[in-house]
Amino acid sequence: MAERVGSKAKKPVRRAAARKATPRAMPKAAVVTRAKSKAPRGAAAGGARRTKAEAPGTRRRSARSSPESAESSGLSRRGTATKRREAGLPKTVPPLERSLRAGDAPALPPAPPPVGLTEEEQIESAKYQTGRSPRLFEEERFIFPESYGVNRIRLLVKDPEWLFVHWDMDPRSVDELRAEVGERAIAVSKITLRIADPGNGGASVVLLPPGVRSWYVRADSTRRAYRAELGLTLPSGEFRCLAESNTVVTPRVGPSSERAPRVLLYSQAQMIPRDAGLAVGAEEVRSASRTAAPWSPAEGRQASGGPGDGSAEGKRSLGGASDSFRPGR
Amino acid sequence: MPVGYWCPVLHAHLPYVRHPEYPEFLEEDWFFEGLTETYVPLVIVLDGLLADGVDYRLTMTLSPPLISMMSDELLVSRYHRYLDRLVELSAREIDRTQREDWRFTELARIYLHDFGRIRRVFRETYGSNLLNAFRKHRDAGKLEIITCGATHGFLPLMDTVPEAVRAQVQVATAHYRKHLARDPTGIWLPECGYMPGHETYLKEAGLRYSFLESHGLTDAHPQPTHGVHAPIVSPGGIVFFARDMESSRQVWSTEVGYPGDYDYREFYKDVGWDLPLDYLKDFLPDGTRKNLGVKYYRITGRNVGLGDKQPYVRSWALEKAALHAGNFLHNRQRQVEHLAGTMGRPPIVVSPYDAELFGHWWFEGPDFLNYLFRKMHHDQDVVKPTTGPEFLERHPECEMAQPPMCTWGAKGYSEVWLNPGNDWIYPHLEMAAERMVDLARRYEHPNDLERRGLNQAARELLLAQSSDWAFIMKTNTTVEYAKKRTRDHVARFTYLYRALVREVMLEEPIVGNFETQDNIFPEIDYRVYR
Repeated sequence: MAERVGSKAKKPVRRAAARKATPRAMPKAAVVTRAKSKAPRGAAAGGARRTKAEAPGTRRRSARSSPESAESSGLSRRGTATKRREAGLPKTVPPLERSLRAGDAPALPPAPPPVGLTEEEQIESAKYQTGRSPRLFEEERFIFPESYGVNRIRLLVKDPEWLFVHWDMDPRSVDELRAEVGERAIAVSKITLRIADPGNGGASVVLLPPGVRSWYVRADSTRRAYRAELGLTLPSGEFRCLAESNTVVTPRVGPSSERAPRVLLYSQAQMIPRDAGLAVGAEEVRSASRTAAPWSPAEGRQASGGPGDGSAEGKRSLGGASDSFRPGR
Repeated sequence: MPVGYWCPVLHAHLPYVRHPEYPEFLEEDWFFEGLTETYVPLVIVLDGLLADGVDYRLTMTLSPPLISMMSDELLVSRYHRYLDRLVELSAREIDRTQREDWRFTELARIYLHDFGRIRRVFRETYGSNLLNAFRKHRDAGKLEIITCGATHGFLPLMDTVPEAVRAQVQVATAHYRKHLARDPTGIWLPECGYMPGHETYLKEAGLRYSFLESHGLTDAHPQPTHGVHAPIVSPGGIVFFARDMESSRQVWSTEVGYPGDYDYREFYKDVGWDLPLDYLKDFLPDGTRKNLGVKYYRITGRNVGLGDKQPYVRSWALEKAALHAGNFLHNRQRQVEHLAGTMGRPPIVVSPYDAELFGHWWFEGPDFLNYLFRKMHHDQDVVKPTTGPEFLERHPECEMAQPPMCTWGAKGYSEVWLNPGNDWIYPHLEMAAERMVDLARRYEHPNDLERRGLNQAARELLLAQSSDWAFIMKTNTTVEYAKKRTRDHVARFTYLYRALVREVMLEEPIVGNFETQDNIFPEIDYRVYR
């Protein structure tokens, strides 16, 4: 019965050995070289991963040139043919799909997905297996814009304990601030992320390292509403907000302490107006905001923390990857 | 009256993979393998049950991309070629094994018979469109077909752009109506991903029920009295059933699940890797090895390497499938008896699986279902198969409770589709969605070319949103292809957006080329994003 497990545990080793033994570094290196060779022309290589050639300085220079900095500058400096390719347009010659040829490929059967997946993921991933070695697609690559040149920040719930936040900045906003507070103040200002619970106050403050565009933020393990702000912390300590995010609510974990009192017939469920769903979304935020925060006064804590909302007594997790979740920040 | 009910749900979905720009394209094999190993064998099983008067019930998602591929002329013609090759390969295998290794000759004959039958059923019985088969079983009252997200977009992570969530639901239900000539009442939320408040979009599309992972009900507020064994209605007005873990594990689990039995066919050992390239050259178009679907070995035992696998014996495997069907039925009988005793009403045990688990991963899966439905029909009255609407007709009472955000991914939330390996896609997907909303509001009276561009932009966005790409990036199977697809669709969308906001020229040949390449949802109307 456990053979699937056994075989899965073994095969990644085979694949690792195959990687070592086969000359796959060549085509890969070619791709990297091509991507890097594009970078000096003012754009980042494909994907969100940055190469050294995509240094923040390069980005800022191009960002100043127009509102949709990298996106438009990346395209405007190219000829029509290149623009077409970047936009995924057809080329005269069909794009080559490069496979590892028989001579390159190890004569080994396809390896199962790596261990570390759940049973269901392992099985589900089988339907995406082609039973063939990885391929490289040598089409001209569209270059994902590094910045869309707008102030925006968005918050997503990964799970009850982690939020994912990503953002973008309009360089003109920084320019305006520079004009107001001066070049020196801007130079020592920190791009800052504040994650707040709109119902209970308090904020997790993350002073961001330069160049990052996303962050995982630890959430309190209790069901709670969150909203994020992106801005600059000036040398004076003042926070200047550039963008506010959507509000999210982390999910309840564990059974509720209240028993369902109301029974509806299936036909009655159809009578519920469709806008009730939107009201549910709003109520989620309201009710999560009513949940007392760990830093609330004692009577507030008594109102929560029971088995009903899944919070673990004394298991308060500190929010923020680089700062604690506490009031008054 | 039975003591309880069993609600099997098969979620059939594959991403839309169609590459007219290539004469052959490897990832199109996902669809061809799905047809050959899962969808057609399932139809053959259901046909047999119907012909023999077995009163089965089955719920199946047919995702819009899957329906589109089943209806696509190019892919169907390529599938004919794929099937012809399989039949030819198995015929040659009879000759080869007679000369070289007689142990496999009987199996080669079985493959020739099975592939021939699959070809006949696909081409002749159902006119090369398997939707005809599913419609037949639906119309017979045995099969409940539910819809899904338009491109299987993961809705909880789309929540920042509500119009995008709405479009996934609206486009899917319109597509269902077009191809299946009915209004869908049920939906499989992609990846079982539920977010409180999305009921609005489901209700607007006329949907009435859906399914959740177990903790969608066990962690609901207030707490449902009967756990996952009775449906609830959310304050948003949608009825939710939830997965029963016990019955799921018996099939899903790699440790205690049936598919790992030593007598079942080994998934990873395929003649495409075992036989000389020269011999296989007619079946490997570019000379590169890949799975060909002819496999001669059984799992054999724990920790047995691929080189030490023993020959597959079809009769042993079928014996095991029958044995496992009996075991599954026995467990469901005991389960519903126990539950009914504590609940005071007939329980419903909901067992959702990926459809492709049956046949593609677990070769004997369709045989297992065949035996199970027959045993359930003939041998007992304790547990009966049912569908959501049928159960609700008999037992319409639902407690009202609010499920939390939940998915059926690892750990129950969004981690599979949002992790450091794939999180880079979301800023681009969100921006594209926001831009699509902007375009839809901006264009009140577009000219013909603009309308085509707007509709194509909607298609490109939907295709980029398919949760399969993030899943593949996480599970590390065909990552380069997943990245390529994300890149291609965002690229095409970006061109169309920039052209439609007049940053660059909107060129008809380019729009036409996109329409040819990404031809899903020909009837789409961009105004769905308003």
